[in-house]
Amino acid sequence: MDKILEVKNLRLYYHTSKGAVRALDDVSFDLYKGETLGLVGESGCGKTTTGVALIKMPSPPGRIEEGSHIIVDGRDIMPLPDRDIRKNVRWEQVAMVFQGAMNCLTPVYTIGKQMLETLQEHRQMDKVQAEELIKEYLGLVGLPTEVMGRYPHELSGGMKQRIVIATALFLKPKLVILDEPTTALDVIVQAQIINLLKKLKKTFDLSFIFITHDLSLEAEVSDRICVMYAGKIAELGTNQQIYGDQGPMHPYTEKLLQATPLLRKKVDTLSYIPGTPPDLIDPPKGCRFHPRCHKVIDKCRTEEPPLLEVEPGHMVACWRCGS
Amino acid sequence: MSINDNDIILEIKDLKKHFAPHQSLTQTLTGKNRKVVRAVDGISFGIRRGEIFGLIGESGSGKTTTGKLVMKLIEPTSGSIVFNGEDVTVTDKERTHAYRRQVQMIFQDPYASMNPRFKIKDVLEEPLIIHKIQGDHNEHERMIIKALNEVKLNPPEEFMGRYPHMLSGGQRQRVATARTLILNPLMLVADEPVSMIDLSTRAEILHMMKDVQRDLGLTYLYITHDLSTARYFTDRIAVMYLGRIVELGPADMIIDDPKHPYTKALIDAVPEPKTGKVDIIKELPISGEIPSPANIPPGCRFHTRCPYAKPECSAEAEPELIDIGGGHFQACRRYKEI
Amino acid sequence: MSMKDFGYRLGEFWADFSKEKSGLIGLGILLLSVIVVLMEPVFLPYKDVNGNWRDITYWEDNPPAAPPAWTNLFAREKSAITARLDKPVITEEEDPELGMVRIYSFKYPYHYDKSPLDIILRAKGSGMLFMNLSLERPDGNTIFLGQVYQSDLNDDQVRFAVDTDASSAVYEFIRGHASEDAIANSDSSTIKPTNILFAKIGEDMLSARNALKGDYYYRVKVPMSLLENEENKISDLKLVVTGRVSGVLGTDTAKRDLYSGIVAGLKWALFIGLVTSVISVLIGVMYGIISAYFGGFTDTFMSFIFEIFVSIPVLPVLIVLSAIFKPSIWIIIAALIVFSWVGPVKTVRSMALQIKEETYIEAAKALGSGKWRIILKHMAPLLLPYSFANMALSVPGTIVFEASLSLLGLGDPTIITWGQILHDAQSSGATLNGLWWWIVPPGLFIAIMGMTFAFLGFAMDKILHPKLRTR
Repeated sequence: MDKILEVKNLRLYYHTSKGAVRALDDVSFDLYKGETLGLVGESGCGKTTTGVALIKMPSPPGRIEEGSHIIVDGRDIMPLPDRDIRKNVRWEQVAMVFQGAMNCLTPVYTIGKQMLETLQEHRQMDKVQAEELIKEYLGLVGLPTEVMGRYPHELSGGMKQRIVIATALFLKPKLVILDEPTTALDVIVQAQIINLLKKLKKTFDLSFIFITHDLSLEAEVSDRICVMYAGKIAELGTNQQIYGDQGPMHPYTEKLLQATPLLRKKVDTLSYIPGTPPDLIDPPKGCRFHPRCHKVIDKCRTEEPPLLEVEPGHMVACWRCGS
Repeated sequence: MSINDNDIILEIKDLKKHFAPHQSLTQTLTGKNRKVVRAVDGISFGIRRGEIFGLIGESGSGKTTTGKLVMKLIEPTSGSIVFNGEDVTVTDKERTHAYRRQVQMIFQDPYASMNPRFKIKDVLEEPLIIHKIQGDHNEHERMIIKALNEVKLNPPEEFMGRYPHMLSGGQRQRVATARTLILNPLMLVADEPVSMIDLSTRAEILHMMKDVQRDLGLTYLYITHDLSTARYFTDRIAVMYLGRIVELGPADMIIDDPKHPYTKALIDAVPEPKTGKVDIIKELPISGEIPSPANIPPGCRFHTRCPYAKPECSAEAEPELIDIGGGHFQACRRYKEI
Repeated sequence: MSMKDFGYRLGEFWADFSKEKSGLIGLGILLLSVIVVLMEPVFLPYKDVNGNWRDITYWEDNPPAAPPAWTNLFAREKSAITARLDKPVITEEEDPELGMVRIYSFKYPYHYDKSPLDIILRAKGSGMLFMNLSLERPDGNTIFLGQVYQSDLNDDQVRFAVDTDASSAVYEFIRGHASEDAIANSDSSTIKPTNILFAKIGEDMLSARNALKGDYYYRVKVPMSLLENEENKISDLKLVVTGRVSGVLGTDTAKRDLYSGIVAGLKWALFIGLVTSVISVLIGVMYGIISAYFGGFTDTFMSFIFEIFVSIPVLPVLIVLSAIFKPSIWIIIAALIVFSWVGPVKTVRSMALQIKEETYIEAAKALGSGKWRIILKHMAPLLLPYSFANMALSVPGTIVFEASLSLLGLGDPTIITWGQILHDAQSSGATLNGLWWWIVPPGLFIAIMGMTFAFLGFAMDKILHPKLRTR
């Protein structure tokens, strides 16, 4: 399988007056064509930051540091100037559905006009052609064409999210990053959207990066899962390796799964992880998770564990999970 | 604490809340039909003293409005609320004020529910001042420390001088809980108290809330859309759809053996952290989206999306809750056939 | 809330407030102003300025439109500074012309380049009074200045000014020394006596001004024969040498010492500016909050009243008022408040409408909080920073507005205000004539008064926006 995305040593720091917030600190992973990679973690872990970094849009004072490489379809986009990225990479090769995007549809323009604007920004098309394309994609996401004449406030959350997905797809990108695409939606609508995404992925042979904090959702969506904590990858493995019977290897992932309530099984006590995520300006020495880890040993407090392959395709950054 | 089936602390009977939004001038002049939003359209349930009662629903189900009705933040259009044996549907100012000491609320957003310019000490002292609890500021401080200890914010003195933005989401929700406890209420209404908190801390907060309930003998009305936490946390649940209750009963029974098609669809849609489902397109027999509460379908209001709908579902009158034994009620006339 | 609790809360507030530098600066300026107002006599060189601002005789002895004394530091040619001499040396001598005389001698050391504008002698006398006045110069020449002869005095003031009363005497002096041409081209009315008196003798005395520096002695001779009569008394002899520069802040065209005017005007600035701004902003802000919070009919009705007030034409109403009422400071303040309270209302109302929707307001309601507690404890503090900003801006505005009111006849003529000073400056053409000391100080102090509130506002803002605090 070929790689559609290679991320090497990605570092993104926010340079504030109090110091550099190390939001992403040496993150590396690959994405293969046609697969869904899940980025999962809690608030502040860096999953959303990874998403915006991949389209080179860190919000100031954030900056992607020297030494980071983002290779999209064989080409490193780090040295490219912004003009080039805007024209050829963003939306053309890599599209992103931002968190809460459905609430960012401009309330004063119709859906049709907004989608038209995006399309005409990238392609030389006359209005008729463009509208035909829009109608096609609206149909693909299961929306009637009359939606084009509506305003965002007239539509439900699920419909708006479908529009945002259609807008992300109609330039035929190879990779779509989805940041919490279903968080604000009801659970039935969420299931419908997830079904839609799976269908579209098959139809267009897309690759997804699916970002969410919901571990249960990740299990049903992603082929491989990347668990992030405090700006670093804790564990990266296949769906089977993380959610299968033998369980994940990193203590954080383990505890996180134990903290996830199950619907179809009665659980007597739910696990939780004491403490709070660390300060990213001055993270703990050694392993960043050690203050909250139930398996901590002395080495964890002083030396930072590297991300090592413990079995084929399964990477863990933990001293207790040696190979 | 054992729950006595007959000791009902809160009894809701046929409660309705209809909103009539503003009309435009032309609408008033032409006398066109006003669109009435029937947010809560005739619900009845009873909460036993000492139990945790869950109200489940998606957006538009009316669960938040029900919470506000129980809190008496809004007035019902019709129906009755009986609290602790007393009819509190319509109360004068004094009785409402006294009611607030008995029934308190925890809000969804732990940051927005506190004035960001108040120190934690001020946040917790506010209920004491409002209800004119006796004591100078030293005695008040003692009560505040006691409440902070109850929610396990240690050391209390350290937290008292801080501002909300200096606390994590979980800590803020503890403060919000402490704020409700300081008046020694009988019942707490919690509206999505953990949905904005990280997963790793969620259970901690729910633990704390369960401990508090046990220690102080409280009753909870727990409002959420998350069936999974509801199963873990509640004793009984009521599932709401478009302003009515479609199923009610013990949490385990409802989730393991749902009878109403909507409840079934809801349970099927919830994802699980199990492997092997990535390539599966989930079967969702339910179609479409939830209608607007201003345009409620006739007959059984779920019929427009129900995979088992028959013509009589829309033609006949709205179904009421049917008792199917074991404390389990549901509102589908055709449940035996599905 | 008991006194003990109140003291406790005040202590807490002070602990927070004292951490903010800007608040302390604002408070410092305010306290300083209050001290100056309370100890006004100590700061005023002209003690009776309050009553005498419009009395031109009080200011007779000052130079008109004179720059401040310290400008001498920067000038190449030093101008004489106003000197007041009130301790003459009293001797008794035999005078060749007048017989036994009592001589009152004032010593005036002169080391400036530019001569004084006038030398004014004042005395109080009863009965008959006769004085012979002369000036002895450092070069030995004694110039006779003139004589004062008055009778039937009853402890009255007598005044002799060289500039007006001694011109002919001085002209005589020149005739002996200056060039023929110069004398031919002038007469006693064109020369300025003091220029001559303090200039070196030479052909060019009239044109060039070479200053004769040294000790000058101004002598007042009173015949003893006069004084032997008990009915004739003379006392309180004072000499004022009017300089070209005067005082800390100079003088205006009416010879009034501006420093005294500013100090005297401080209390009115504080009073009018503070009181009016605080009251009108408070009214406006509370009006906006109440209108927004209560909503419904109350809101509609209050907005209606507001529109009426905003539509009132200020000028015609004030003119009518000035015809009906006798002008006094209270009328002014009332008028100022009535026309300023509407300022913040619209903005505050929309801010309050937004705040009303916040979850913590709902939470407060759920706790059982009454309407007024929510308005005063939750909503008003958020609007306090905006209120302070408004006050900071309106303080200078009210001061200047008061000056405009004075123009219309609604001003209180018994008081001195900075606005009036500025107004006088404008109508006397101060800008055209480069009289910067008349314009800059009042304007500066008005701005400082406004800034005081801005500083207080910054501190309040920091206390009320905990996230902005630097700790």
